Amino acid sequence: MKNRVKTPQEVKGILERQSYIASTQIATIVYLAIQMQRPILIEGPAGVGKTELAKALSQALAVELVHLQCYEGLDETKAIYEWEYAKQLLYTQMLKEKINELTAGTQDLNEAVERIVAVENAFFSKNFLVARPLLKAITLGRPNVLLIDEIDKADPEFEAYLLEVLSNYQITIPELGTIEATSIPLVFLTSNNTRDLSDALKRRCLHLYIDFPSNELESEIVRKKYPTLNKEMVAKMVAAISKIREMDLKKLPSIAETLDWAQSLIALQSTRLGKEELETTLGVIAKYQADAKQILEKAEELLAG
Amino acid sequence: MIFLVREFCNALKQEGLMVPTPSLNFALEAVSHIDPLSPLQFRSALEAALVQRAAERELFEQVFHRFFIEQQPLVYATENQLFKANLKDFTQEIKKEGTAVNHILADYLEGDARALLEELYIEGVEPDQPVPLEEFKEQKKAASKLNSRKREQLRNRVKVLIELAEDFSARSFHLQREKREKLADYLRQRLLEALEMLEKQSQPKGRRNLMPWEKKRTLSTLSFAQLTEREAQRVKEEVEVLAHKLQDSLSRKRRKANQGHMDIKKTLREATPYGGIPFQLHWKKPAKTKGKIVALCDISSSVSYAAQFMVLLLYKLQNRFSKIRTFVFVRQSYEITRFFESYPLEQAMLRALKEYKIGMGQPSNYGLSFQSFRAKWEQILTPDTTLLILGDGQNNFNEPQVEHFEALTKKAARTIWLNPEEEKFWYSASNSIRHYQPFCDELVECATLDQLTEFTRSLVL
Repeated sequence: MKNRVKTPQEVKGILERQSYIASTQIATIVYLAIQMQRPILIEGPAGVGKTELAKALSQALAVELVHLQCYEGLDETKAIYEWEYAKQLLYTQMLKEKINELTAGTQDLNEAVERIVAVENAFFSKNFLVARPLLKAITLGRPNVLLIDEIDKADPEFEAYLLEVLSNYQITIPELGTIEATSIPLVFLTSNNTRDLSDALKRRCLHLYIDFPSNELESEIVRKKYPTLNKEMVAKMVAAISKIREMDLKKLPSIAETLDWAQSLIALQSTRLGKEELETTLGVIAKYQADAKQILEKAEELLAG
Repeated sequence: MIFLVREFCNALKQEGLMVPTPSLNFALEAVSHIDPLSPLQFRSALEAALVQRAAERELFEQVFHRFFIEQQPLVYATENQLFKANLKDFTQEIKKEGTAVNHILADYLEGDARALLEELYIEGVEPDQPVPLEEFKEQKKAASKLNSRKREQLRNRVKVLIELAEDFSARSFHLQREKREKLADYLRQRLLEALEMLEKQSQPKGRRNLMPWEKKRTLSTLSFAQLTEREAQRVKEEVEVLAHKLQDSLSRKRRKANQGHMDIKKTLREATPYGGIPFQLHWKKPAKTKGKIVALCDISSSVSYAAQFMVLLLYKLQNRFSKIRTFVFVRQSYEITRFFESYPLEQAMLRALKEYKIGMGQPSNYGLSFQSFRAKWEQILTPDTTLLILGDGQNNFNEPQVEHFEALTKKAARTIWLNPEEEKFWYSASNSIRHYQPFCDELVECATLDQLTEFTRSLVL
């Protein structure tokens, strides 16, 4: 993957072709992650495009995206690998005759066990291993993007499993030994900061904080996504959203909300953005009744100039 | 480049940012991949490698600006021990006066700006005594006045310290003249920065600047009795998040319990068609041990927030219990369960207070309250009921009527008393908690969000 992009500007360019408008900071850090083969830990408010960055990059580089969604209680059987118990049993049944042949002529139980032990690896081989996202990403055999989404939602113990993968790109399975990556994946970890992550994990990552975008960048994002919206309307929307973000709301609108708002205005065939339009589409921007009330109270100020 | 990046890391360390050696190596590697003449790329590379917490970004930006853009010399970090010792002498002199303002400024000069920043971000000074809702607006005004007064104090003190610093540096005859000037420059510069910050009247810029762990640090350890109205709202939000987390933990626990016990009968039965080979394992579902909760909350003004948060948490976890019945008291007990079933927390509480005409400002009477509860609702206490009492036990010299309380505890499976007051205040003369304590299975201090979390965890997990 290292040779696919030569400069941060190139990263910016390929992301833009996927309708992801990245700032220089984002492009630089993604470029560094590719060159240094280090994971990126992306933090920032919900809806600013953390997950989208990984998706856009995988599309831009035309590589597979392996997605691991974290949640409380996620363990190694769901994230790394699991032995396929039913298949192992089925094969034991199918190979009953073979096992009988193997143990034929043995004098006692110990001898029979020893013969079986000598071939027990057959049942603990890759044939019976179900690869979950982490194992899949490192054994895929071709470049890929591994997205470990909302890592802060997983238990702190789960981070320990990740350390080996993130620092050495390898996974140790007691029955099989250490499996090293055939092709190093580009790892993205996203976090909404519901808890502080361990220093050990942070030390292994490049850090990217995606904040709410500047007005210019946000206008560019909206225009790229909805080219039919006129320039003045986009500017007015973005300015209003920016002012709303200054307010003390329970949930501040992010880029996702701005895009939804633009979509709603298009759907309603609005040609101007006034108080009436704001009121009709308020549900898209404000997720709480109290927030909606506050926004409505300041509608004129928000939509002015 | 190596020297420059290393010096910059020193500057970050000087401002209290942790920069372990691997991060420095990381930064050097990152810088080697980008165009160092592009300021944005250069800054992004350093930030990606050196900033490990979102909360540190602001500090990084300040130091970066100072180091690479203003190119100010890093006096303190490059100075020798003698310089540092003199600085320490100066801060010790300031600390001798002992006031909080002096300590904050002394720490700031030594490089620890946290306390000063906290002062800048404090919204209002908490009232010493919690007040009833109706008096809150006036209290808030007073608090805001107090806050600006404290800021004024800090500003004035900084101005005085600027002069004192000049004097101090001039008096440091054991230093060479050049060093004396450097010390004076350093102190003046730091103090002027502080003054600038204080005069900017920094206000919180909204929720996005407050990271969750920062919220937790401040709110989770603040006593409920000291919360301002705004903080109470934020604690309420935290309680809701906490309830979700507890729900998750509960479902995880159930999932794990499922894995622990195999249902042998079912597994063998299902295996019959396959000649006894258990292709599909079946796990026993653990019996849900749901108990009934009867919560009896003192809502007199001194403990009203604690009662609200506990009730909110209980209702958010209500599927964990077979039934929750909530009662409130100041001088008499009233059932308010139906309000919680129909309205959100604040509305429920307000409607209940209005309907029963309960005055939260009255002094509480535990004896009468337990007596009235026993008279009307004793029968609802069954052997699977947990009786939760939430109150500070402040009985205002009234008769504790322990016999009623004892009778109630005997009917319930267990009685847990949550006291939202610090333990050192439990045994004052007007407080009756010592009379009730022998009949409680547990008496727990529950004055902060952290303590409430710990208690709820032990109750439901």
